Amino acid sequence: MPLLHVALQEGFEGEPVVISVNGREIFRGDHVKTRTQIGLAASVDETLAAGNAIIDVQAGGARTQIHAPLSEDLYLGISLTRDKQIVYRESAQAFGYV
Amino acid sequence: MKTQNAVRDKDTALADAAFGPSPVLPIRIAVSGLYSTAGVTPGLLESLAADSETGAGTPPFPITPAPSPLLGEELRLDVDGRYPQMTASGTIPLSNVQRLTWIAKVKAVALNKYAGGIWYKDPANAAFAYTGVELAVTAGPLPSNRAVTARFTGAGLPVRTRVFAFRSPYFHKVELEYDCEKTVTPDLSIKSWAHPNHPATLPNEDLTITKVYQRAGFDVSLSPSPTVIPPGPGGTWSDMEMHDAMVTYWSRFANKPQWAMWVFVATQHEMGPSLGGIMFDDIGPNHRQGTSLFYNSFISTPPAGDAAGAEHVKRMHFWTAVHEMGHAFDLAHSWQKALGVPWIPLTNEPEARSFMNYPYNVAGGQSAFFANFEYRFSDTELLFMRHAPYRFVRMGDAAWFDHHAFQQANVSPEPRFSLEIRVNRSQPKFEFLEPVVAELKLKNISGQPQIVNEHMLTTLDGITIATKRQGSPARQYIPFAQYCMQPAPKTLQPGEAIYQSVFLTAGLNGIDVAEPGNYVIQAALHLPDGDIVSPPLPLRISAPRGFDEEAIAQDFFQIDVARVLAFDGSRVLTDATNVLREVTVQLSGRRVAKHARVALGLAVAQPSKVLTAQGSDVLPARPEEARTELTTALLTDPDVAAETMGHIDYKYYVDKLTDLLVKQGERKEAAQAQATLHQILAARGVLPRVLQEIDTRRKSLQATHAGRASPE
Repeated sequence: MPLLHVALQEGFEGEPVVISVNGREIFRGDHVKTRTQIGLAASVDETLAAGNAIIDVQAGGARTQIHAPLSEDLYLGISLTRDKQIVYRESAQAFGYV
Repeated sequence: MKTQNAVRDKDTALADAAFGPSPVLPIRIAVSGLYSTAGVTPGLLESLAADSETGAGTPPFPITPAPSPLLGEELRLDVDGRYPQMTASGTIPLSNVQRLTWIAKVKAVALNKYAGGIWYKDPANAAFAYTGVELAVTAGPLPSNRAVTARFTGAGLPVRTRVFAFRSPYFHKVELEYDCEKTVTPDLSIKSWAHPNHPATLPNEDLTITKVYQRAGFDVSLSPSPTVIPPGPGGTWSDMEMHDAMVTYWSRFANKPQWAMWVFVATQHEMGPSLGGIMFDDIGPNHRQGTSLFYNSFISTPPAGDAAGAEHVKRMHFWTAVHEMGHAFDLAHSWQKALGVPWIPLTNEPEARSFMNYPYNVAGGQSAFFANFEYRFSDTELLFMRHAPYRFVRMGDAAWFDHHAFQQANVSPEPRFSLEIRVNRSQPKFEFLEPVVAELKLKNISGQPQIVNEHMLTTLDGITIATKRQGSPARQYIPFAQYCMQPAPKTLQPGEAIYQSVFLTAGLNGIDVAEPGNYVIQAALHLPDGDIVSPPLPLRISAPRGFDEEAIAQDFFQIDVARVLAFDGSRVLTDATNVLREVTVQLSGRRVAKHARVALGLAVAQPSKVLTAQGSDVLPARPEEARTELTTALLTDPDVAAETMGHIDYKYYVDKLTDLLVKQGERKEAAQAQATLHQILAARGVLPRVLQEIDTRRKSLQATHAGRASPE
């Protein structure tokens, strides 16, 4: 079964964040804040059955849904822009932080 | 003679190590480095201990008594050698405990002569009005023969001349201590060509971390007491455990700012192999003293298919060490310059080939990064490390990520505009509880007419304002209301300006400028051809005068009260309105009471629509109450009112009062209000066109009062 890794990365300044996958909540943080020296706030791993996944991300007042076909491990990096819009990047490789 | 040769050889070796022989003019003597006048300077003392340069807790205002004559001035000349930034900077003692830092961009104007404008001063309001510097370098072959004569210039100022003697080819000193976990052998050096993927022009050399930081301008020394540290509990390290290890094992540990850092090479962080290193020290009052890197992490895994995997890993170990140490100098990641709450607006450098970027995040990935990577910091990072005020850079001084933006403003090289944020008072000092209202001024300083959006200072579109209380992180000011207005093109003639007031006390980020202490406010306008950055505005909020102010502050510093003040009143935020009413009673003689009266008065000056559960309702005006509040606020001690509200808002409010009086048929009083407005603003040096506008209205009101017939 593929792994879904969701990392909350840049731009979080204390916003509440809720992440759900296919309608099931997998992460909730009331005060998510990026540690700027590594560019990471929090992360969550979830093993899912292969297939299409709908990842719902609510951060502060923003919300987005990401549709991802899960057949292999997926690493999803979520960031907030300066105007608090949600952006994301997908990777087949694990993220590294320094 | 032997002694002189020894000195010269040592100096030449140092200079070569730091900057390398010039590839263009090999016989030319490099002149970059640290210079000083006679007397004691921090640059000569800065080996470890905190020096006399200004630091947290010192006010930004010039301090008396005058500095000791034993204190000298510094000059950092950065015009040749490795990565020249064509910059000169210096420190000047303002007192025995505080120094001014100035920075100038210079260019060569003749052989060994440089000149340029001073674009940065800290503290900004120090009694140092010079705007330019001219540098004449005596480039003798011996260090003892090198000197710089600096002439500081400024309009209407006598030329200020100082002679500086050469002290070092480096700009600062720093001491490094590498301590390792027992099972780890650190990679502190590499061969630059060991991995086949490298720039063709990269010199083939043995590269050490010491050499990298020497080339960044630092006189690097290594601690004589490296320590082997037992493995962490459970085989991994938490930030707290590393901080404890730093306190225990670092031979130089001290809870104070010092030019020294601890580098810990360990196996693994408790976060797991996804963390290759961290500047963990954002703990306690003295940040950025310790960094760690972890060899049991992704940095020890070569990319799939890399034929030189072992060399890649060694290179990543080396790169990570320099990267984490860069954080200890308060350098942010290359792509973070515009994130968080920058000191001044930033330009991200996501593709920079800098130690502060992630190789695997650039377009083309790690192979693209290292194909162009020259083992260096970006120019703006070097500018920051070499020339920024000590307290921004020195380990254990400014908090992590505070001031980090300084180095990345995309300042326009030939700005068309100047931006100023100012307060309409001789000393930028505010009473406790007094709302802070500043004025933005955007001026066309080019020789050509420029088109701007007339509303840009109202909408703050493209403008960032940062507020920073001394000893606290910077905050971005975000107004309560974001106006979306149709752009209105306006031609600004050369020398012409537009103005707008800005209520800085609070915004969507909360209460920004209220607690007693020293603050610095700075604004920047982003334009396609670069950022226009205002000079920093230092200001001070006074301490409470007594218990009555302290008591009411608990209610006053609520966001709803700030909203009522920002929006000039409310008919629904009754609790906040009641606090303002209490202010007018309890603190009637204080400036905050004038602001409170304006909000209370304008709220009831005209009927107001309010939303109710049933729909909407219109609350009737209470014009007599409004007139009383506004008249008391604006026309009693009108000079104080103009000063505390600022000229723009004061005129706006008096105009509102005038409108009210006209509605009540009190044209004589309305004309008198305009007369008072004219008198006060004329005495305060407001623009003639504004005074003319006021006078025209006053005359119109007088005429209609005399005729008692025609409308205004």
